Amino acid sequence: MRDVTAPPRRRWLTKATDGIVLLSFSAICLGMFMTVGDVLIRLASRVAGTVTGGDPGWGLVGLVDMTQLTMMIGAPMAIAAAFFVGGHIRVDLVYALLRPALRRLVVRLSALVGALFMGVCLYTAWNEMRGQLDFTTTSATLGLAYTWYWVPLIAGLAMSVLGCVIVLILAPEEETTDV
Amino acid sequence: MSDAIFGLLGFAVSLGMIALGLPIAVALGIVGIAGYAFLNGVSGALFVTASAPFESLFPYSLSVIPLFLMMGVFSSRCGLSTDLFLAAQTLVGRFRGGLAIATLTASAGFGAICGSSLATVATIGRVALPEMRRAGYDDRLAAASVAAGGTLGVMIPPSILLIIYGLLTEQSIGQLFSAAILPGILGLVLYAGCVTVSVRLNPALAQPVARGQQIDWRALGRAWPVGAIFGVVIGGIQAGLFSPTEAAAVGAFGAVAMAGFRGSLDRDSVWEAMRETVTLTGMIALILVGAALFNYFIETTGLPQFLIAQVEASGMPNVATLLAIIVFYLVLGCFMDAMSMIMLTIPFVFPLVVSMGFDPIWFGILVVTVAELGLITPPVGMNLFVMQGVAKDLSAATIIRGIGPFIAADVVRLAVIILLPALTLWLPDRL
Repeated sequence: MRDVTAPPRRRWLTKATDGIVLLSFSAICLGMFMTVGDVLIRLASRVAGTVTGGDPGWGLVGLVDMTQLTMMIGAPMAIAAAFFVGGHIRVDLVYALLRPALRRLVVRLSALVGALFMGVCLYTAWNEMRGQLDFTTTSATLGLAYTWYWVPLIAGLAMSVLGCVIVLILAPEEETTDV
Repeated sequence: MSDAIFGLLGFAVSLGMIALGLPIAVALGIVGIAGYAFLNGVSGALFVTASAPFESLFPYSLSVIPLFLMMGVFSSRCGLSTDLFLAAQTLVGRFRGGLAIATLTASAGFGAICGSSLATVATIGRVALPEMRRAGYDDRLAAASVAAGGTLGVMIPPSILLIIYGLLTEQSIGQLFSAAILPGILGLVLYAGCVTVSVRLNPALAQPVARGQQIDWRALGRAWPVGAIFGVVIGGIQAGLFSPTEAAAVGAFGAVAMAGFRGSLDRDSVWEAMRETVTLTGMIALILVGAALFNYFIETTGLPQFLIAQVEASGMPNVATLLAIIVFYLVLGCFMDAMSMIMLTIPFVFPLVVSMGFDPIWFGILVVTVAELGLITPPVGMNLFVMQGVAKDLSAATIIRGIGPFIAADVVRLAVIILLPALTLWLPDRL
């Protein structure tokens, strides 16, 4: 639910997060619909096979390639969304015992280390993608260029770095418990 | 310092970072990259980091995770918990302690389709706890049965923990699901037995309910969607109709469609469900990336081989080593959540266990059972905290005093799984 009483910067952040969530969820849903569609088509194929005496072998061509593509859009965006909403799992055994000032420090440290980690992943993945472009690797069935799989990954990693930086900037403003 | 000792140091540093409150995925990833760089140079570390995110997220089998998560989130938000509890209540609620057993049964059923222990405790707790309190149940029994009941869903398939174990160790998810069914049922039976014995020994724990009530068939009928989803998903996998990914897609589609038909979700609830699905997906996806980097590091240290050599040199019987591993997990489980524990330890524990000749499917069930135990073991049993969140007037001491018999039941189950591997492996061998 959007908090209309939140300051403008927060509302903008909520909208941005909702956009990432929507993109990721839509990709996951697309994968779901395609898989269910394939199950139904194969079921129809079996029924037709029973009637005609030979399975026509219907099915969604390139389902695995397409499902992988939807997940390569959905998962990296989901990683970014989890950074934006503080959804990455952590154990607050020591954290819970800390004083508020130390908590803020830990939140900042977490965001900094998170940004560093995702930044290294982004930098290396970017170079890897550029290297792969020279080889023009394609997917198994549909022959989709691997660039289509790399681009959403790079975008998700970049959004994750941004999410960490935003937490790093906003954490001192409030006694947040999320990273 | 040998590389293997350096690996152990890396494990300790990861534990420290996690204890401090860093996201587990980030802690694993950073230690993995830094450790690898220390041993093989920066360029080597950058090389493995470049491919880790892609290789972790690209496999087709990974798509099972967001789909099962979606199924669980939408199921838990469309009022199924109430229907399940009422159905279980109409069956066993009339007996002394019956409401607690109904709570456990509803938790097992709901946890099976939801897949999250914490969500099960929160959802069933809101329905069952007020009912048990109204019926004069002691808070210790009422709260503990909700908290313990939540753990049943971790084992009963489809279980996210089992999926993650399967992905990490390259074991068949379908076989893991088959293997989990009997231990899951055993867990429910032992918990129900634990309630029965507790109320016999101390009748004040649960007031008797007036007898002579008729079975409310309509209440039983309203719980059909749970049976339908569970039946289609697990039945479909076991019958060979679906792969786990297809079953997850069908289950997710069924849960979303059911939520739509029941009209139980408004616009805000749908947004919340979407947000929850995506956040959980992101959390697990990044843990897989972090764990992959940590795996590279642990493999390059040779820690698994070092541990295997040490165990062989010590002449310790395999069973004694296994018991030591279980104690290690039990201690770790008191301070860490199940998923973190599995991600952190599997890279070096799994090769050791397999080298001793233990079945990897059986070991997966054993690890998840220990992880379940950790969810209700003080001081950091997550379910205990969630229970306290559901009923804020309950003290932690009350819940902890009531949970003892359930922990004892879990220890019995653990012993049965260890002493009788056939209980776990019988079903996968036949399907």
